[in-house]
Amino acid sequence: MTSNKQRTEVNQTALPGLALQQNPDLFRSLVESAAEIIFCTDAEGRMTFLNQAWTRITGFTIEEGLGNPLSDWVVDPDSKAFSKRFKPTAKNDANWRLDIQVRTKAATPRWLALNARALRNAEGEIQGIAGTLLDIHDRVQMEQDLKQSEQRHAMVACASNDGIWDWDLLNDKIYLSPRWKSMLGYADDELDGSFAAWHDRVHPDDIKQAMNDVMACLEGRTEHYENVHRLRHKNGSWRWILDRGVVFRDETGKALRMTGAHADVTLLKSIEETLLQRERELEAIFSISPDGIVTVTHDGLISSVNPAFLLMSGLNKEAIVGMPESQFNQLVLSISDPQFPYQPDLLGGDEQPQAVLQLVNTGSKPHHPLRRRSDNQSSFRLRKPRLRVLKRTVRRLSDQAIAKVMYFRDVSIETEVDRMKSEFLSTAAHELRTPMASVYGFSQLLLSREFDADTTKDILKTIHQQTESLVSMLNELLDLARIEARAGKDFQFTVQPLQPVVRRALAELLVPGDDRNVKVEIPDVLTPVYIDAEKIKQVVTNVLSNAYKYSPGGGEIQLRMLARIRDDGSREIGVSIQDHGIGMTPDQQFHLYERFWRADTSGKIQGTGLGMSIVREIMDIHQGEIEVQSTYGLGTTIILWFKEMQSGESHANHS
Amino acid sequence: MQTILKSAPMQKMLIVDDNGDLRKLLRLTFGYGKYQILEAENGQSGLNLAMQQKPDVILLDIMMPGEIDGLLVCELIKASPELKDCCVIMLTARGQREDFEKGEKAGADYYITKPFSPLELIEIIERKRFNKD
Repeated sequence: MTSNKQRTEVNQTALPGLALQQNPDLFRSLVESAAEIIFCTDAEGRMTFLNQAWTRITGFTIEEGLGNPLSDWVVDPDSKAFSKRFKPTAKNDANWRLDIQVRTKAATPRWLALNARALRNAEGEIQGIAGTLLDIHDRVQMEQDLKQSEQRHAMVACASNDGIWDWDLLNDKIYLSPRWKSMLGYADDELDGSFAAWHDRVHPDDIKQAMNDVMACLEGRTEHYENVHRLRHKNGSWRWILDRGVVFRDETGKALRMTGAHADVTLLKSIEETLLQRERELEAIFSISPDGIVTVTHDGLISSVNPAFLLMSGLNKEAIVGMPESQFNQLVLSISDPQFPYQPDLLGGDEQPQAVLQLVNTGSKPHHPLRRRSDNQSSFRLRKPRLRVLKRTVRRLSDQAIAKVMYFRDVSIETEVDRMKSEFLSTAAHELRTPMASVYGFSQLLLSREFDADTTKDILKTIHQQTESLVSMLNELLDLARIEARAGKDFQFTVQPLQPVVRRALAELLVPGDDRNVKVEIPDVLTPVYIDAEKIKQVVTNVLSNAYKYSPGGGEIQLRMLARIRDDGSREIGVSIQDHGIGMTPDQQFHLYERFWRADTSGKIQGTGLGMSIVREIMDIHQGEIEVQSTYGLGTTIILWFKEMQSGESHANHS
Repeated sequence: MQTILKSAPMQKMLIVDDNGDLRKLLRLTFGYGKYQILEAENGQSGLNLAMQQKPDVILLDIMMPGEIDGLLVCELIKASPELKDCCVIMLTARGQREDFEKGEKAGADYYITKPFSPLELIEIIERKRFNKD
């Protein structure tokens, strides 16, 4: 059988064999150009022939090889597979194959695929071994690497809490580890390994970037794949997943597998989100705060300033941040008013909360501890960029990123309101002093001297008038104070026609010593308004009595009621009161609603200077309008405008 | 009676106040024969009258209508060589410390806040006259 086969092979190669035998040069060049090592040994296994590939692959010369057994170069020549088979025996008539490691001159052994068979002479006796050695080192190396990497992966998968995925790109199959599935709430048998199992669960907002990253890695543009995306959990919620992977390629660079792991970072992500949200909130508060905030580090450097502080101080952020606190204090001092300076060292510079507490505890009088907080506060006035009164509060923080927070509040308005209040009080006191001087002075004269009957009566009349004036001034002051304090909350608003209210004011108006009648034009039908009747009666009375008082020379006083439609389509009812009296200059009109301001300063016309202030307050609460037309020397017309109540309009929110 | 009047001629008193009742009160207080009473309703006419009549005593309100208030009237009178010896008494409803200071600065002899006692006012002026004489 064997010899038959042998012969057949010989027959098949008869022609080329013949050519080769006839042309030993061609034979030699073929052998020498082969990529694999071609060798022959004698019966003892010593090498009798080697081609050039031997030197190319092992680095040893042919002379170094010839005459020595191949086993001298094999790394593990005693291994069973090699030592048992690499023998010139009949058993090895057929080709056999074995991967062996062969030493090289460069010291690193290389993997070679050994193909060998027994070599017989023309007589059929076994002479030795003939064979080839193919360099498969790179392939073996890669297979080993892959194996190691798989083992590492398996180890990582077991040790960690990650969900493993392994994508066989050639067969488009995906393995998903049980942990991968349980991360999304699925049992191992509930989910098949497929690309869609992942792809279809990615959040719509995240899928584009995730796919981009996968493709970038597959196409070799990135070394590793990494993406954080949301995956839909079985229960419908979203889990944040940190997904990482690598691609394995063959020697041509073709991607064979992509393998990676999922880590659930939902908790991290939510903490991160919370922190970010917190930071955004703080940043928003910091930047929209109307109050200035300046922070100082433990090194005594200014670490941040907010826009409000920059706005109120007109200082430049770049200049301040990083500046030592002492220099900052100098800077603020330089723009503060020397009359009302910034005093960082006296107040808030080095306050000791502990000492403050002791002071409170050992004090003989029981203090409320909070009252000592004012120790950390100081007010000062800025000259630039414009006059402002600022109140500074300093808080020291321990064990924090910042050591100190300075908080600047613009108290200009409060200070101005305080000033106006005290001015109002002193004006009110002043106004009360004048009638008081008459009452006090005249009554003393009456007690200490004798006057004739007429003078006595005149004096008494003056005292009475001035007392009356004092009483009405007190009443009006109280009215104003009440309206201001309650802001209309005690007003009795009802929907009603305006005409009866105006008629009552007319009927009750009493102007002593003036017999003029008001010329009245009131239509029968007008849309009702939403008002407090008593308050509006007072408004009409005040305006009417001004019309009388400020037309001492006589002339007709007219009261008309009218209606108008505004540009925005809203309808209003007006009460117009016209006199032909002394009138007002534009400058006087400007002061009309000022408290205690009087158009007449001669003292001939009685009054408190509060009537129009009250009119204004009441009309404001009614959301009404006061129109003033006045010409100095010719007279004044005042029109009080009220919004009409539309049918069906709700007025509940007005009360 | 005649000789007394001749040896002590009537003093001139100028009352400058925009309030009619106040002027009446002062007129009644001092109008018992010792004083020739002059009256003005505002700063400007008060100043004019003072220049013209050279009164011995001026009772001067501060807040009055017009360009010239009582403080300025007082200042101008005290700056005038002919009038500087005239006794200026500020009679005013402004009773705060800085108001007093302003009156003092303007050169007023007395600064009296309303309401005031007419009898005390007589005494102050009499004492002033006695000291001077």
